Amino acid sequence: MLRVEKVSTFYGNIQALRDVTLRARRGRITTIIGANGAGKTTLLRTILGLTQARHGHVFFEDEEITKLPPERIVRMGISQVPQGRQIFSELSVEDNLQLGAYVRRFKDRAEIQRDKEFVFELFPVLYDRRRQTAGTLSGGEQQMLAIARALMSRPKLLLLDEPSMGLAPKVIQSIFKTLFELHEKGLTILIVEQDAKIALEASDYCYVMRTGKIALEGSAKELLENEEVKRIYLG
Amino acid sequence: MVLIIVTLALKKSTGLQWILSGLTVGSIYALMAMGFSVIFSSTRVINFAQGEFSMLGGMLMYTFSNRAGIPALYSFILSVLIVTLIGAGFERLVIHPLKKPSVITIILITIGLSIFFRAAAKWIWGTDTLAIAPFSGDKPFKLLGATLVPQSLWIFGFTLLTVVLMFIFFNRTILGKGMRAAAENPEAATLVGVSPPATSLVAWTIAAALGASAGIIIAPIKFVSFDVGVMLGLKGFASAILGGLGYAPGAVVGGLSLGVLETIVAGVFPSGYKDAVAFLVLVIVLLLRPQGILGRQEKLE
Ligand SMILES: Nc1ncnc2c1ncn2[C@@H]1O[C@H](COP(=O)(O)OP(=O)(O)O)[C@@H](O)[C@H]1O
Ligand SMILES: [Mg+2]
Repeated sequence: MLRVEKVSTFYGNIQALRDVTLRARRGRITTIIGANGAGKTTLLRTILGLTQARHGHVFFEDEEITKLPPERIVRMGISQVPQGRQIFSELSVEDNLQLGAYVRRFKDRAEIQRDKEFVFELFPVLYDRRRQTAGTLSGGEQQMLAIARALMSRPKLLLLDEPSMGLAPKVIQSIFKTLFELHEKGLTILIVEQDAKIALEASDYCYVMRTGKIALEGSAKELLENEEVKRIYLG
Repeated sequence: MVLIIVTLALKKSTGLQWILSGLTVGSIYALMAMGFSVIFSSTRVINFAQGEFSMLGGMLMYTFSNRAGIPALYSFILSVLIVTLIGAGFERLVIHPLKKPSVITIILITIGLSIFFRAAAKWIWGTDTLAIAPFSGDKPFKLLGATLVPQSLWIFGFTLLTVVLMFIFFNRTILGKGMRAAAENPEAATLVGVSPPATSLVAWTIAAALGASAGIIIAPIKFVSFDVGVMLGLKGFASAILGGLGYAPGAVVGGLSLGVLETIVAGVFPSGYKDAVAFLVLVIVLLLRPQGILGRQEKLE
């Protein structure tokens, strides 16, 4: 579904990605693990067009999206839950969700309403807080809102950048449970995680990034048994 | 300061007179300030040509209503429409094509634009001070002991209407919410599909329309000439800073406060000092409370 081919991305003269090649297959959960600064966020930014790749190509459903602006890419069906959640803290929870559906604002009001009900079912706490300013939510609730907002654009592929960051284990569990539910319903998911254990257990296929490169890849089972992964990432 | 105002207001009719006159010009400043705020909050740019939108509005109004004899309402609509198109066209033709311009580049361009507009206006309309007829006569009337001209009511009414419309736009429409989202977090807004170029275009369109309307409705009271944009722009800017740039209700509070403050100073001190108030306010606010009266601290990125 998503193919990243030999992508290199720079910040000025600093090279953050070196010939990164990977794919996220339809209907699967793919994860990327790596230490802080490995280039995971940069990779997601490059896929979404927030940062331009200097070399290489990105394809989504066999269409090249390398140079497209982010809003076009979102409209094509990729949605991102950014690192640090990035919810609109001054707007209400409901407004955040409505903005999530911004790319389809001119059509299907009824459908947007139905999707809103769908994400409220996924995260009932958001329904209880729908009129509250998003900034007043707890960290876990904000992460749920960020995911719900991303779902409102009806993505075919959902990218998540460290969804577990700063959250209590219980909250993380509940969020991943929801992600599995979405996966069961057919959503393709690409998760970036620093917490390798959660990521590996959650995924079908996994990439390990180190200093801007893909250092290792394999099925989750293979990597869980890999000595190096055990030593460095699972501690 | 507030105490002085209140005492004056309660004690004498001159106090009320000052406040009402102050609110009249203050409304104009508020409209100008909203223009600055809407562009600043969505693009982080100060549009130094904001005052010229007002000047152009007033000048066009003069041409249509006084010269061509078109009824005031139609002249008003026509003038605002033309200036709005100029604002939107400028954004599309000059700012939009720039690839990743720095904020300072755009600011310099807006300064250039304001110089250009002034020169063009001087060339077209000359340097004379032009008078525009009030919308509904100029017979003053009494309100609670203070004297007001009918134009003041037009100004209050129009400003109120604008504030309500702005509120509805930013709080009830998806486009307006998208603009607020972009103001708060441009990148996250991009991620939900709010495109920065579209946001910028809408902001410039609104700002031009606000500027033009302000320039037109104040013209019957203050006259209009090729250089009125400079002062109006400065006062609007000071009001926006006073209210906390980027925060819409702040623009209104800032504008009204500056208007009243200015009128009081004009009443107490020799008239030449009036225009210094805006500068003084600007300096004091920037030194003591850069986020303005109602504004919140800018988040550092
Ligand atoms: N805006 C930026 N400007 C310059 N360098 C950056 C920027 N963002 C990230 N980097 C650098 O790029 C590298 C990869 O960062 P990032 O993609 O955020 O890694 P990760 O998400 O894996 O922690 C790091 O060395 C980081 O310092
Ligand atoms: Mg990161």
